[in-house]
Amino acid sequence: MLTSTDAIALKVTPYSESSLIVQLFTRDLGKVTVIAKGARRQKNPAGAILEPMSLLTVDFYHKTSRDIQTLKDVSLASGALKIRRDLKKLSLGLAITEVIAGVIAEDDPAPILFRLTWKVLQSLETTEGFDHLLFLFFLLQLAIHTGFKPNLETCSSCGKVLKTAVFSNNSGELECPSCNRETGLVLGGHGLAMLRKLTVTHIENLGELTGPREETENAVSFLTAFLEFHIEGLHKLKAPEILRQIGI
Amino acid sequence: MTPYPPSLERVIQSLVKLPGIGQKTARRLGFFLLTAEKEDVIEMAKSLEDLTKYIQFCENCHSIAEGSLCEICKDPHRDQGTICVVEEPADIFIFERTGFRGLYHVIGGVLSPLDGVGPDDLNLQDLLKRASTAKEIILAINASIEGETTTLFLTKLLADQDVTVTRLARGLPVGGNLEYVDDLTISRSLSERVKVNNG
Ligand SMILES: [Zn+2]
Ligand SMILES: [Zn+2]
Repeated sequence: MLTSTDAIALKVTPYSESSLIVQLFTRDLGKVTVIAKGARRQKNPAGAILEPMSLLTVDFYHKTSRDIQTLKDVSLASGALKIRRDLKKLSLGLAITEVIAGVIAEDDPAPILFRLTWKVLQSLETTEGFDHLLFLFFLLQLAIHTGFKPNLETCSSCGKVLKTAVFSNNSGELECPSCNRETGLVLGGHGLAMLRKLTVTHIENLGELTGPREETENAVSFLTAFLEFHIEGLHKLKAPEILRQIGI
Repeated sequence: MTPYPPSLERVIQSLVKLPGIGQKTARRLGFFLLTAEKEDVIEMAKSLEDLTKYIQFCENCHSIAEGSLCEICKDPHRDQGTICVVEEPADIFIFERTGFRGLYHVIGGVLSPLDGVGPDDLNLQDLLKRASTAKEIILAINASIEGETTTLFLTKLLADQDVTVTRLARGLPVGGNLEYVDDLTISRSLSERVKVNNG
């Protein structure tokens, strides 16, 4: 059956002399792997379009009995042009593809996560100045839409209102410093407030949210640990470590 | 399906591990080897064994070598101050065809979170060491998204060093793998390389 759907390219691997294997997050079918025959030939425009983070419309022949579908046609909705010139945007964009690839599954459409990833990558390409917030927004919305919305209000042990939160490596929940004396990840008042605000902020208004950069970075580490704990398939993410080492 | 004799099955399963070879091709090659001249097949097996025995990575540039240093690092006539940074040893042979006569440094891949490759998994620390005594570092990494990330990362890493850092001129196809670009284009993008720092 010929299927046409919007898709986000997650991973592109050269295959044989002239083809590419592309892992896609499609709107209609979830994760799909396609082979783009001839895409590596120099005059084939598909080769330049098929890159991680590209927002695409794809036509492919879909057979459920096959692991790899055959790509028939591809067009570009939005490419990672600005992203590819900026180390910070690149690293965050690759982190987004790593996280989402660990969450979605084959033959399991996830239209809300698709829209989220599409919009966040589009914003990363078109906006300036709040790349980290975009990543934080992505992680938080991902948690919410996969059913793991963190309780940012009260301690999961004693129920007291959280002023500072400690991430519990045992329960995967947020606790107050009196209940949890581990030396794990701690989120201060600013970070908590930022996350609370972020749960109700539209992606287009992220610019209005400001906070010290370290707080945003700290909140990213906190949420990453939270997601790694709760979502199967996200055991130990590589991207946050790369981001840390890159120092952005 | 009747199973193949175990020794043939072993060959097929070894061939399947090669890039671009599926079960079908592996079976065809397996049967071909059965009908080929015995000496040729033994020579092939022996050469593969030698490959694992004698080829190691150059201590200096991480290219392939027989012995602790590769032929290029051993050559005193090459320009010792210019280092061309590439992903894989195979890339070196592409630049050799253009007449480049400096040295190389193989980083052994590109940054790729999806593949679990971070900075620690690449040969970057000794590149930094080598850069401290070099005149110019040419970043000649593929123009894929991951390659671009790596190039920008290295640019940042080398920013504080007293060395000129350049990268291949754009003009290489976006997403392009060097392996599939013609020699003339490579040669031009090398000679028109652009400076990316103030070293
Ligand atoms: Zn408590
Ligand atoms: Zn060497």
